[in-house]
Amino acid sequence: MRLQVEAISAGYGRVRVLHEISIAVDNQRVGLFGPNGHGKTTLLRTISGLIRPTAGRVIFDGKDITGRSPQSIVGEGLVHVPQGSTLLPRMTVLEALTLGAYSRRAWPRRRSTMEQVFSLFPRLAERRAQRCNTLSGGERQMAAIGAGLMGCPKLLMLDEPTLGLAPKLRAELAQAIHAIAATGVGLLVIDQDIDMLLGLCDRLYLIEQGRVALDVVDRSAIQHQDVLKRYFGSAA
Amino acid sequence: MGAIIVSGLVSGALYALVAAGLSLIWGSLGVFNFAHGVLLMTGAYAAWWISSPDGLGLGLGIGIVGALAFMVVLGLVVYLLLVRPWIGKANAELAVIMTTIAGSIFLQNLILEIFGGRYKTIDQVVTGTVAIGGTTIQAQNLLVIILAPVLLIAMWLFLTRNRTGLAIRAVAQNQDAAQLFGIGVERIYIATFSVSAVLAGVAGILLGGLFNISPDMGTDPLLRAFVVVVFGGLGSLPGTILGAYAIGMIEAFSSYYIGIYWTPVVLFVVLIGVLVVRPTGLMGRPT
Amino acid sequence: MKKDWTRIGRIASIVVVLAVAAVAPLVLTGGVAQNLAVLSILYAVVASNWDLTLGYAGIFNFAHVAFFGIGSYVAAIATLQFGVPVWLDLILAVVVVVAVGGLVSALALRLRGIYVALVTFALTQLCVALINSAKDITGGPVGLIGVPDLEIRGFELGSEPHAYFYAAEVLLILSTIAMRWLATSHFGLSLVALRDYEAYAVARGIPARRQRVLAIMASSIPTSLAGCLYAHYLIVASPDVFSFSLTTLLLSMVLVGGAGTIYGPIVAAIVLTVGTEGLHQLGNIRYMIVAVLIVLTLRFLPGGLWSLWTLVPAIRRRRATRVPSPLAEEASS
Ligand SMILES: Nc1ncnc2c1ncn2[C@@H]1O[C@H](COP(=O)(O)OP(=O)(O)OP(=O)(O)O)[C@@H](O)[C@H]1O
Ligand SMILES: [Mg+2]
Repeated sequence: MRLQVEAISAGYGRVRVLHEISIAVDNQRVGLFGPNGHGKTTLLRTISGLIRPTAGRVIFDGKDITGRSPQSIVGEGLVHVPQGSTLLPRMTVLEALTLGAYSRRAWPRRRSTMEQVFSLFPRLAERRAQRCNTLSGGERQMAAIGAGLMGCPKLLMLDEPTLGLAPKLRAELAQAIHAIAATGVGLLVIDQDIDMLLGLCDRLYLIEQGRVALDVVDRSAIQHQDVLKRYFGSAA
Repeated sequence: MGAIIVSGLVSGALYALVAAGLSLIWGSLGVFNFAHGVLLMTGAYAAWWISSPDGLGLGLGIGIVGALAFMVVLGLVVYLLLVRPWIGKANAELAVIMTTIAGSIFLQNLILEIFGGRYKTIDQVVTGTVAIGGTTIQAQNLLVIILAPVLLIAMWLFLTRNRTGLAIRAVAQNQDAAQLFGIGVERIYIATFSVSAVLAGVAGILLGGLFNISPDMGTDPLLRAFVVVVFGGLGSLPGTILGAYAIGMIEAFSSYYIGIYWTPVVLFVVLIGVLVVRPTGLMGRPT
Repeated sequence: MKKDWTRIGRIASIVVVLAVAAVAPLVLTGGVAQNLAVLSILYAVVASNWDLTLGYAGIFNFAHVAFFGIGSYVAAIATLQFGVPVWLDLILAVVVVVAVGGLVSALALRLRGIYVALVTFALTQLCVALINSAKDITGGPVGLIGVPDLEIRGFELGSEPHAYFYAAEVLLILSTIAMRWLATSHFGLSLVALRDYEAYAVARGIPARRQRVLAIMASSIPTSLAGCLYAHYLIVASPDVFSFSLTTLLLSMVLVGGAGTIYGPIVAAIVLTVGTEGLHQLGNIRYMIVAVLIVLTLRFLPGGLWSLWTLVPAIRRRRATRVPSPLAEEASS
């Protein structure tokens, strides 16, 4: 699995948010972090086809997927779990998970995938008949990630999975994400929790003003980047 | 008494079929299809034309199947020509009200041009009468009373179990999330319109068996469906169905005890009463 | 310099409009032509009034045509059933329609968007139902025939061939002045603000429901008078005025002409009334043509016919400087 984002520019209407940004995910776990409003979410939305880039290319497993529809991109096994996911408010957990397997690739396998998701998040199994809008924040994240997994991703993109969660839940979720990574699924994770990213990722990008401000490949080097700490002292 | 309840159940069943289609489209596209009544009428004409000796003369069975297949296509055409160009635009709600009204004028006059204004009759699916507990019921009425709930339950199962049905609800609730699940929104809109048109067609064929068919036969059911969806709340299927049967019953009882001419007045008063208490309808959600 | 030209242009167009208004009744003397002219002028009144609430205020008010119909029925019932003197029935019609409009809109505007459309549609149906159920007073489905002629101090309008034509024109001119004045006044700007940025306008202290109810009441005044004139002119009040097809026809005038312009619907009313009548040998096909026209206009000319006018660069420039954003106005006051 290999995702290459090459010099992508994108934005909303006339406002340009991403400026020729390039990142790569190569059978690894990659983290994105940076101050609020600098384009991390926009980058994921562009990769997953919700936004059309004005320039640049997105290549996934050797195929050029630039400008393709979200459904065909999901069909390739590139799955995006959106930020602060309210998911499908008036659907039950079971229905939402089932829909996660909507793509042709994932649909035939939905029963066995669902069992894996339930073993990863036993809480979801308990709450399967509950409506998504009555779930707690943590459960909602689990449901969103679970629905993402239902799509049988080769690369799973998570947008701030620990947003607004208490430390204990955060740790629990981080553990689950580790478990996902252990199954061989590639990860591209945005988070403000630098410690979590440090524990999880092989490579980190610092995104600032729609550009890569820092690309940290060596994990041991990350620990000593007090630059990072300083960033998160002010931005997180 | 028995006869009043039967009449209420029949009207309620037909209103439920009509209003469910409207509600479905509202729920997933956020637009209101004023051509729904004309779709109902067109369905009845299609069945008549295919089945009647004055038309193709292929018999009722083929007539019904053919008409419903035609409704799928018609739903698609209505969507593509009258709805799709405005989806996502700022004034979509008003524009689509207008385009679908225009579409209904067009279709109604087209039917009038092709078939003339004279009443036509479709054969009843079942004939004869049935006596239940001292009340004699026309078999076709009984069919309507039984078939509508069966269809509505089928629709409910479709929306909660079927891949496409689930996707229809997902698109209605969160379009971004639906797209990220790999759902093609466009395809789902088309499916929604087709399902809705088929429901209208079924209502038209059933209605055509009970009364005559004419180019304006869709107007009254549509206007009743307006009351139903306001009463029950748009976009909530249980609310719509409950509202339909409530309106059917109120109508039947009021026609009997107060008089047929005063019934619309009674309905309006009930409607205003409900709105004063609950501005989003009995089961509707605030938008 | 430029300002002078604008001024001259305005004065010139006023002169032209008045001249046409004065001459038209003298030229169009044939029965059919005159009839058509009076009808199209009355429809122009109704459509342009509707534009205030639909176009400027953005209210999905589908009861507007009912105001017209109620006006005609009040005139007919008052004069025929209760012997109310002619002229007094005009005042009565205005009072009844404004009261009904105020009450219904106060109720309907508790709702939002499409629900307003549905409830106001239901009101129109209610009118038909009431007419059918109170046959003794309303004449039922047949309507009331024999509405007396309008009379001013003993002068019967019917006795002079041009009189109704002039009366309709006077109504249209006064109504248009009133609607334009309302639309461009502070009140009109608050309606537009509520339409475009409701949350913000409400936060700035504009009372949403009150302004909208007032708009509907104001717009119903000339419309009810048009209804009266219609009944006196045609000598009948018929339930057809509440029909779906008349509502559609008038609505298409508003949208084809250009919502939110007042002038556009007037132009469209005349074009569409004359056009559909001119094509009457086509029978039902002309309605199909109108339907196609509506869809094409909404698709390719969303601003309506009137927006063709504003495509002229000079006018566009003038507009840009003259009509400030309603919110800018609010914020500075
Ligand atoms: N739908 C939109 N329309 C217009 N502008 C938008 C839209 N979504 C985001 N933006 C703008 O794009 C910029 C980047 O937003 P984005 O959501 O990508 O940031 P982010 O890095 O994910 O921030 P956060 O850490 O707060 O989630 C911001 O200035 C934001 O205001
Ligand atoms: Mg973000």
